[in-house]
Amino acid sequence: MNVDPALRDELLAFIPNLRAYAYSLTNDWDRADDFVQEALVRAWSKFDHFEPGTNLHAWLFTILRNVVYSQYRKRKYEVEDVDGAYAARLRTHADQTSRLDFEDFRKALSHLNPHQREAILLVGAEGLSYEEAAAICGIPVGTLKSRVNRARDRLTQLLAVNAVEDIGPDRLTRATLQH
Amino acid sequence: MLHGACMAHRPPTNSERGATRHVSSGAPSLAQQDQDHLGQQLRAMYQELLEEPVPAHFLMLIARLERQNREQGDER
Repeated sequence: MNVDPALRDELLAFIPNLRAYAYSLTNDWDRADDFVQEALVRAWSKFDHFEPGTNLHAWLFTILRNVVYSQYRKRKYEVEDVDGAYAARLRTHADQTSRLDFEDFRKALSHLNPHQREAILLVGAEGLSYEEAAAICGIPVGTLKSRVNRARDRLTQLLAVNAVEDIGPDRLTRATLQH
Repeated sequence: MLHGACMAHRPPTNSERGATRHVSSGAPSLAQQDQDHLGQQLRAMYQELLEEPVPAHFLMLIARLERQNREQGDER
């Protein structure tokens, strides 16, 4: 089967999106790129099932999501230690200044439950519609919407706590006690 | 290469707007302002990731897959 060059170019144009999404889940470019590479190979091998003119964006994200989930099933322990592992990676990233601005946000994101994180990333970051995101996750639209809402609430909470910790009485108290 | 990146920032669809339907007209509520701010932060964080240069090995991978297709086609 030969892939239409126009379709190939569309696929290439989505690589930054696939990488951004995979990185948002892992906070690790090497692992993100492993996911993306696997997704691209799978997409390529299934291109004869793709109907030109239909939604390539959603189709590719469905494949990427399946890749991520099958990897997680293989390495179950990583899901269980999700918070600890993310937090450790985030600490190492704190020294790399380019992403420092978003460190708190990324940390908050890493504390969401995986279903909520995937929902808010697909809709809020990747710009897919609720209907598209629900189809990608294989769940009803209502469920997807409530996951997005819960993700928003939880992120707001987490970021508020961070902000208080940064300037709040705890740090002042500790500073006072040390002197 | 910007095609995908642009899609992430198209105007919200009706279904996305549906998420904020509880907000009535007039000044946005505090909760709504928080949500808007959160959405902006999320998109800004994501935009930075979208702008990361794509490693060359991805382009080589696609080129290799295309070559494989051609070679398989020749064999038939």
